[in-house]
Amino acid sequence: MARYAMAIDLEACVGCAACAVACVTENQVPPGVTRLWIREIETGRFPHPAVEFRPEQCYHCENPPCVPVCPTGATYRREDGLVLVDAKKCIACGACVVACPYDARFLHPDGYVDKCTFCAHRLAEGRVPACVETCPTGARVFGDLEEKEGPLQAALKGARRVDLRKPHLGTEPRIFYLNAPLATGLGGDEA
Amino acid sequence: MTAAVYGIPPSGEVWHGLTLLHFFLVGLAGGSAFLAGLASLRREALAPALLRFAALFVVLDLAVLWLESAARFRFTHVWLFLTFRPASAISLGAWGLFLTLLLSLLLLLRPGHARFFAPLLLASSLVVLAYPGMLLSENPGRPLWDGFVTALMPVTGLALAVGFWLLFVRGSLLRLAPPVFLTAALGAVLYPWALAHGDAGERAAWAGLWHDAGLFYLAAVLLLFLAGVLRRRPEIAGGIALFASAFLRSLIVMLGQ
Repeated sequence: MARYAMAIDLEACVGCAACAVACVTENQVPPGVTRLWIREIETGRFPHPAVEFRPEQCYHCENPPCVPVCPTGATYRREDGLVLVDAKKCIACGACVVACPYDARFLHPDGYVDKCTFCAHRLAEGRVPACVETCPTGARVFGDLEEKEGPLQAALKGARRVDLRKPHLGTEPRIFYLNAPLATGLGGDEA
Repeated sequence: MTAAVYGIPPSGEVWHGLTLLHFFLVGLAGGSAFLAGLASLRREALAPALLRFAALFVVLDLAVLWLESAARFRFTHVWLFLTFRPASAISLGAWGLFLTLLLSLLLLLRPGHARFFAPLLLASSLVVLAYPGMLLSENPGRPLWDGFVTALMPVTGLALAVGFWLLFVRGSLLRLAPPVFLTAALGAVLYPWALAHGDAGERAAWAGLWHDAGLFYLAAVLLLFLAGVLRRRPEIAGGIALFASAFLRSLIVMLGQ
């Protein structure tokens, strides 16, 4: 069974937000909310200014805090690692929205919780997520963690450093940030 | 080090005014059912009124929950009662509220079976009192809602109900009220102490609470202590405890998001 994950090379990301636009278009995300956004963090100081563009979205965690809190089982984790929401079962209680430490979920205006699905419908057709396909600098790499010779493993092995967001929470996010500009890791006070 | 964002991070405050009303009503429902269970076991004259109002508060609370839900016209709430997920506080709370309503009605219809039904009502009311704290504390990314809220929420819920009933009746409540109010006040003192001795996130969360509403928090704690020692004017003590408990709960819910 595949274990889907993504790597984002922060050295290659230029913050163009093409991935965010592709996501909105592909998944018909309504105005006012978004499944994917880019955080811009100034990590340097004059005379050595630097900036980190960090795309953020649902991390499809190995230990997702959103799953156990769901009272109806609408939020679930598939065997391939995708954390998804069954809108037919969702009561929009907001428990999973609050439980997500990455603020990756939102209440869809149609009355259910929504978030990034890693474009599960595209994966079913053998395609990569829209954000990966669109990225003009190739900063995003999607693949199967079990594929030892796959592009994802190659990106992880070739990286200068690999970081996860909020690792102390034990959620084990499945989006890996590669080559953070700061020598100490991800920027921002809540990384 | 500054941060700006392209696009909108989706979540912000998810729970609003109606959610606060739910946190108020669920405390009132659970606390009233707990008092009704005790009164039924002791065969006190107050028991039927407590049972009626416990049932009413449960119905009101469920109505508020339905009303505040963005899915209210999709009727997906039926899934709450087609599944039981003990790891989910909301699932426990939904079943606790349902059983509390059922047992309150059964005790009203069959007061002679109090020895059987009243302990069950006590148990289900404890679930109703406990579940808001469990709901809050199961969120690893919200440090203000640390493990201590699992103790603080039931105690303030009970104080809220005792305060409410003290406005109208006396009886055995007169003996119960001071220890309940003082325990709630003690809990409200220990909560920031627990946060201050927690991890960096919890310490920052307490600093944030103190910065945003520290004086209000302090005032609510003092009011709870005042309610606990104000024995000659029980109706005033009840009103004060009702207000202070509801305020504390709302503050913790809203600022913790």
